[in-house]
Amino acid sequence: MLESTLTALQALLTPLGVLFLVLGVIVGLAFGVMPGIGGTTAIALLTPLTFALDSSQAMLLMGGIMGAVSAGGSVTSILLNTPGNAPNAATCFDGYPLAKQGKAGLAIGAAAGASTIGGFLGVFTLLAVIPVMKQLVLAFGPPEYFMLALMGLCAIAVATGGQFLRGLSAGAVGLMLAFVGYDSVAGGVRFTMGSNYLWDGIQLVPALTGLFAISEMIALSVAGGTIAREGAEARVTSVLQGVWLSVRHWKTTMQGSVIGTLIGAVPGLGGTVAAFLAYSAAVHASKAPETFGKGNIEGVIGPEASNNSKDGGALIPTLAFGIPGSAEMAVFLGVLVLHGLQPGPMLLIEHEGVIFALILALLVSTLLSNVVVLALSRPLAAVTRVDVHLLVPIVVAVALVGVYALRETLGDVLLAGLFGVLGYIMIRFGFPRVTLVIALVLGEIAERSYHQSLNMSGDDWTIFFTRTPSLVIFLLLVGFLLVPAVRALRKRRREPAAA
Amino acid sequence: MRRLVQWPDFAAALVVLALGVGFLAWARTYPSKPAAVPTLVAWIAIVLSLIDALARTETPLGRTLRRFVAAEHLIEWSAEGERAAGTARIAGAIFWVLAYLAAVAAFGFLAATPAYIFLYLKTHGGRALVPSALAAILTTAAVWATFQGLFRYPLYPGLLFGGY
Repeated sequence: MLESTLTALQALLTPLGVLFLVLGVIVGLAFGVMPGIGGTTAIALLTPLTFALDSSQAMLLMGGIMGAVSAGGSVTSILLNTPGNAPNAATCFDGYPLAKQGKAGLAIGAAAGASTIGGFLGVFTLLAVIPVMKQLVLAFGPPEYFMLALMGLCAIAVATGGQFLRGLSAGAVGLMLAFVGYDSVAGGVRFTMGSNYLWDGIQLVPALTGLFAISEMIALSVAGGTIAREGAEARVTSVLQGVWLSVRHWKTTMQGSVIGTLIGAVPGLGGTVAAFLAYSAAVHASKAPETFGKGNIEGVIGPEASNNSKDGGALIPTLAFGIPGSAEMAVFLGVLVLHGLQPGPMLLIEHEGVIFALILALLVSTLLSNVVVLALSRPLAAVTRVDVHLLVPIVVAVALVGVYALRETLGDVLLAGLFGVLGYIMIRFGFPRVTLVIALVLGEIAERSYHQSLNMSGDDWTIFFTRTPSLVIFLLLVGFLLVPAVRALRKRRREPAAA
Repeated sequence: MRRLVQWPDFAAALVVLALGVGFLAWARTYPSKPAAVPTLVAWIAIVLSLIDALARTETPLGRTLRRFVAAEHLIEWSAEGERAAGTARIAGAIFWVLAYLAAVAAFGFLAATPAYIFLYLKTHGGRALVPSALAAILTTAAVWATFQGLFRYPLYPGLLFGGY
């Protein structure tokens, strides 16, 4: 391991090594900031460029992108309520209210601190589990996927605070939308109204862009003024305090990092699920859950720690088995193959140095990108003081162009617009958008895993409880659901005592 | 006299109920396997919306339900001042997004974007002519330079100019 680390360091500490890493960080930040376009597009775009590079340089470039994308995405989530990437959507819930209170610097600092710590923890976890990767990934089958998806769906009830009924209703609508398109179990198409565009289902990126970016622009257009309210502190003075808060709330940071690493390692679930779960877990663990959604700094720390730690987790099945944990990893798999690096247990034995270059690049880029974000936080936060009428048409135009660029389909643009209107209606009538998104992400996974599990067991539903990993997740799920009830009971007991 | 129902919230619950019933009927047109989970979800939506609708009534049952299912705190945000806005302002804000979508579909991004930004700033935003025109031109140029110039992403040309 020491020899491989030295080889990786040697590759990094050359002019070309530094150049490709910095290039990766810049590209990652730029793609992260642009709403609708994420790491997947950035990696796909630069893949042909890596053909001319040696494997270590290619890994430095890719590691630079992976580490920087979520840092860029968190900035727009906090300042404009526009997630740069889908996993950054959870950061909006408290990051944006903080920006509205004039605490954008605090939120950016906390996001940078949490994502740096999360990124480091994710990478160290990757290093730690490399020897036991095979057993870990093979332990997960359809029943476990189903239970994990169920756990994500149940997080709805927690994430919506007091409005849990409307949260569940929005979740049900989200599930209905998730069923639209090709049914991978029965092999037909459903609920498409004869539209060829809908065969692929409701695309997540346009839906997220609409629900979070466009709907918020409609709300701002209605409200007028500036994002940060009048009377809010005009200076960005709390950036370092924000970084310190990510250390002070170390439990939330650790919790988000662990969730990010674990969920990131489960193929098919990905960073979006991890970030929402991390947010839900932060709400759950808090003594003041009612403050979330109104600018609770832990609501930024949890998802951001998860966002960067998921990369380390997602690399586990990608490198060990060639099973990508996310779309980003699927594209990255192509880069590995392009460079003759066949994913599998032998990869670490035959190309340990190259893999360590990737891990090193991930570490350095996590730190570097967050330092850049911190350095630029003051000018970036000035965005919250600009008249919203100037921002609205620009953000709407850039977001929709970004949505189109992803798949070059007009349908995606129209879908984003329609989800924008839907999102605004949801805001007006108190339906939380987060629950719809969680359901949209998990609906297909839950249904597919459910049918696969029953096929495996000959329609015996006890399969969900007879396999140890599945049972463990189920017990976690029950515990997850019981915590609010226990907390409410405790509160009731305390109140008469205090009276 | 107190009203029997809280109309906007009650109506919202009825919309979800209608969605649930419609989706249930639609799901039943498919064979049993692909319809199984959607049918279950439709029933869940129907039950949830019925409870929600009941909770929006000014009856003893409605008030009791509301205490459990519709607390004051909501993990969401909304733009300050937006709650008090009138219907015309809301309709105007939605209109601009839909108008931009229609313009993009018909004329493409390069023609629709400057027109949308300029007209929005001039009419809805109450900005002067020159700043509105500058913002429109600069944004369109930046979008073109970034997406088409730098990253080689073609911008949608519009149905009238060869798009599909």
